[in-house]
Amino acid sequence: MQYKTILLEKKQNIAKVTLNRPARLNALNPQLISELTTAIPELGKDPDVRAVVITGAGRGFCSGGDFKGDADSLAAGQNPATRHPEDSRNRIRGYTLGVCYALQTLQVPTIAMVNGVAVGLGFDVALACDMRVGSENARFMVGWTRRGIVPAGGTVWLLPRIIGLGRALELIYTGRFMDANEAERVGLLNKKVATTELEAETMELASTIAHGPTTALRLDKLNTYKGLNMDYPTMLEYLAICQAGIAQKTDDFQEASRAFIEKREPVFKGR
Amino acid sequence: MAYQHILLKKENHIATLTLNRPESLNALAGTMNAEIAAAIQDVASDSDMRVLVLTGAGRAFCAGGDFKGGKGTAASLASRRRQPAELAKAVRSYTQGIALSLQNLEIPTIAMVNGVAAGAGFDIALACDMRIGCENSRFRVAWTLRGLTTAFGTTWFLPRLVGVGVAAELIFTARIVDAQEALQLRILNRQVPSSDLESETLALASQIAKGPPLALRLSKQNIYKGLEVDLDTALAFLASAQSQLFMTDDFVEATKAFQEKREPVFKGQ
Repeated sequence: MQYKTILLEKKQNIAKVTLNRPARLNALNPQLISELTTAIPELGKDPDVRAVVITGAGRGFCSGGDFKGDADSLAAGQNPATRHPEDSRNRIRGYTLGVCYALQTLQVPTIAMVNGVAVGLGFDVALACDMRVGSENARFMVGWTRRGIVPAGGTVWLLPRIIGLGRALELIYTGRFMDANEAERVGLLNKKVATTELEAETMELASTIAHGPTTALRLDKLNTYKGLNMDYPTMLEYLAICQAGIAQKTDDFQEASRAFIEKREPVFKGR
Repeated sequence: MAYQHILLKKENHIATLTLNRPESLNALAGTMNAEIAAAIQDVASDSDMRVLVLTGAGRAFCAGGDFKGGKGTAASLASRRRQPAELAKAVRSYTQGIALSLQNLEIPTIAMVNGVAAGAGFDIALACDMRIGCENSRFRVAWTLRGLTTAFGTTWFLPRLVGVGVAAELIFTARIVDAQEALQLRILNRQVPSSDLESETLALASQIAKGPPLALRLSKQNIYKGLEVDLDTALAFLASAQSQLFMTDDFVEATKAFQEKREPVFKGQ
């Protein structure tokens, strides 16, 4: 499929998805939503993709839903006065499930390379990634609150699990900006780096992960998120099955064992 | 039971379990796993014990599963001829015997992290309620380097301590976390100079051991259960726990001590 609003590059087992509407600070409109909805699941089906980086073109990461009101925006063809609530609900589900949920449940480690402002749905997209590396220009805001509505893309579920209840509620209630320094301090950014270093540092992290034992890492991702809703003994049961049934049956496990005995670095193929 | 690979000391209501294979950086292997499980059981059934301190002999806390090879070591699991069901049973018996029974211990537990805690060693440190370390403390999700997932539960413990984002990074990259970062991330409750590690840990353990044992057991239980239930349900559990505690001698003693302006002396009943 030819994409018009995203750039998709795959190199050395890393897939990089760039939201590409820089004139609108990569705001999400029906076309961008549709292309992400198609592209994201495809990444999960490609066994060569062992790490995913999501970023934005230009100076913004993603400014959220495009509400400019013109033909290119989310408001296109909509008359709020006559829109049935059920239609609204389904439109919302279209982008929250198609983009945020699909991204969060992608069975590959994901990194948001936060090059600038991440607001509203854009903040949700950053949160739907497992990790976030940002430049000094990274800024986060729960834009929904300023619009008098609720954060529909998952902030309420993901943010407390990343930075704790107290800070999450503060950001949600106030709709204030959190800059890169504060974001790094509270763990919202795994790392904050100089703007000139953002790409190199993010790709280095992605590369480390792409060289890892991908099967084990996919299971780790699944178990980490599932484990949040599970008690410890149940988690251990899951882990025993993952370990014995899958991880210990991989070529990468054999390679790791050999490498250990031969006192060298393992070379993981991801199988 | 005479232990060969661990040491178990009981003194002043404090049990100290020391992993004792320093030549292998206290790596877990075969009979050592059974000894750890037995020691935890022993402490669990000894009502005189009020705190457990877990540590490692020599310069390491615990380097994880022993992959050096030989019978009873993790390397023997590398044989593809074993059926998954059999393997799952083996993995479960290790994890439940050690990590689960450690985490289920009703008394407060402190990991005295004297050195590297990697792989299963990191899991075990996390299965304790608190961690005190020194400048030599180092943590690593070494499972990833071996092409494995974290069988003793790091994926469960770590997000609850450091948040999902940081946990994901540490698990996916298997990078080393030094003592300073561990303190900043709150993996370590406290970091002290290595020469003070034992005395500081003992001081904390003693302070806890002087506390109301029954109340502390119920508080511990409610902390972990509380992570799984909504507030309504947690309050129901707490009301039931409180009604038990109102009936204890220790509650009466605490009230008396407060009125008499002195330190309470708790007996654990």
